[in-house]
Amino acid sequence: MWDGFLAGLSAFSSWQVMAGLLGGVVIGYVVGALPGLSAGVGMALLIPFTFGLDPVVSVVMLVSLYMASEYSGAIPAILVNTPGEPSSAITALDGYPMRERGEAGQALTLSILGSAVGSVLSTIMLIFTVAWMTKIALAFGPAEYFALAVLGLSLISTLAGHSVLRGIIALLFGLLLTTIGTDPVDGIMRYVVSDGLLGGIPFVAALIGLFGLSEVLKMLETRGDQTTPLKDLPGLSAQFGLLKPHTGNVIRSTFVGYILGVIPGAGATIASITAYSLQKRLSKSPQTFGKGNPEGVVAAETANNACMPGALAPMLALGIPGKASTAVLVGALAIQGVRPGPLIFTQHPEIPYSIYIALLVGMPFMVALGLFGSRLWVRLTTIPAGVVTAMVCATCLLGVFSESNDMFAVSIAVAFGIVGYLLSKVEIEPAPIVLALVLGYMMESNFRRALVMSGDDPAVFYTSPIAAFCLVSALIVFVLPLLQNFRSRRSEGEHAKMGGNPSKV
Amino acid sequence: MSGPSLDPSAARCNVAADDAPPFECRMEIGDLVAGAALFAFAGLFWVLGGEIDNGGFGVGAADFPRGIALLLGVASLILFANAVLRLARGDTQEMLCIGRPARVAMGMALLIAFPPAMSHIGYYPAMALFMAALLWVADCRSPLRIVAYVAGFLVFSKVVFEMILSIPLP
Repeated sequence: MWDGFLAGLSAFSSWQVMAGLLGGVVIGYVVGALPGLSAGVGMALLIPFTFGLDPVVSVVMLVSLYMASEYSGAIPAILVNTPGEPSSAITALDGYPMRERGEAGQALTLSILGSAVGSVLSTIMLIFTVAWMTKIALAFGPAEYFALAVLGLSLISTLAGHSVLRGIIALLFGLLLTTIGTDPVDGIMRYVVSDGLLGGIPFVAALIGLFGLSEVLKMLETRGDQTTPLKDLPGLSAQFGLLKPHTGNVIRSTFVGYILGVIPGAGATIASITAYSLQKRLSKSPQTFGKGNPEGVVAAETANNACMPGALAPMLALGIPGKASTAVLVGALAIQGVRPGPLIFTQHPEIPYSIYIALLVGMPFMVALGLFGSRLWVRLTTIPAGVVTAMVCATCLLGVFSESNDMFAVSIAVAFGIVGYLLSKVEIEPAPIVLALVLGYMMESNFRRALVMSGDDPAVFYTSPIAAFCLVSALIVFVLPLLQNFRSRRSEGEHAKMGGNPSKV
Repeated sequence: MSGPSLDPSAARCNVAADDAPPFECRMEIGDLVAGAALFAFAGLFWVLGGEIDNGGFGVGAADFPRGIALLLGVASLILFANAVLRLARGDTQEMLCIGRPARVAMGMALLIAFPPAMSHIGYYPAMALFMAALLWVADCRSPLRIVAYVAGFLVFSKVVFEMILSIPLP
């Protein structure tokens, strides 16, 4: 291992590698902050520029882009309620209410510091557990993936606000939408009323519509010449102190993010929602989640950034890309004649160790950019709301088009924007719809595959220890809040008899 | 006689008192409309799901969406029924508010018009018209500022998306 580290360190003595690292961080920062452009898209766009580069420079540049874009998705999520990356949708739940209170600087500071600590701790775990964690990832078959998706969906009660029924409706609405397109097992077309729907509802368009464009319509409800009063940020050194009260939260969220990152396909969104949900349960003030609780921002951002090094484990150890971004990275390495897998540690040790070092060395640059940025970006909130409304709307529409090169996707985003706005008026929030859009396909395809592979024997879901554990956990996670809700409604009902108001269903 | 600052509906909807009056209705009415619309949506998926080839064995291509449609139908009926019950009891003061409804409607109209406009006249003219109109709707009334913001955004599109990221804009 130490030989590999030395090979990686010697590669970092070249100025080209350091330039690649800085370039990757800056480009990733911009790509992640633009709604519609994901890390995968940014990396794919950068690949043609890496053809003539040394493999180490190329991989360092792409990995630092990946790392920076995973963080910077939080910037538009906090400032304009438009997630730059799907996983940042969870950050927006508390980040945007904080911005509305004039605490945008604090939210941005917590998000960058949480991201940094999560990413560094997760990278250290990656270095020491890469082989072991990969074995766990390999134990996941269709039944386990289905159970994991069910566990993810059971966290709905966390996102449902004060009405579980409305949360369930949003979830079912999202799940129904995921059934549009080509069926994942038999290839049969379902509800395809236009060719644009053959591949299903375009996810990025739906995400941007539900969060970004519906927020634009909400912004039009208030005067456009108003600005948000801004609370002062502490000095740079005191900014670091803002994370201190969240130490336990950061450590927990890092573990959640890393473990879920290792499982191919699980992804940063599930990691964010799981960490957010866990923190809400452990918090002393769970009722303030979704209303601007900094713990929510820290949990979501730490987990989604801790997820990223985890996602590299199966790629490096087995050559299995668990998500689009790592698939692009595998492609970039293949162009350079390097094939990820067990042999990479012996044939090209400088590659994996350069990745580890890039993740560790790139982080201070990202933190510096983030802390400086948090002072700069918050100025956006002092621009008149009407101008921000138009800019956000135009960026969302442009982002959707550039992600798909398809006008149909823009129309879908507009439709989701209007529907999301109208649903939010009856307190059916977009976050559970997005959760369902992320997990619906994974749930259905693996449920049906598991049954096909077991000859329609449902025992496959409880004879596998991992699947059984996930399903039992899902049941507990889903039922416990319902029971608590039922108890609190009963006690509220008793109070109402004495003159209060009953709670919403 | 009460002045504009005492307008209770403006205060409830967080709208300036000297602005256009907000649209208001009881939350139960919103629940009734949402429940009915979602029930119709679920019904549509259930009915159309019947026409999907369900495959040979096990859980077929139609079973999963129809199962979800059934659950959504039941959940939306509960929302609807709850709203009816609460309306009958008349025991809530919660209101559904839409501040400046005319502006919101104009915003929706602009959004709906943008994709066909971009298809027909291209990105740059469509975005210029769209942004200028949206800025006006969002209370930016200085023509000079509108031109500056629109020009700035179009230059940003050209430089970042077309020149740096090589994404062609129609």
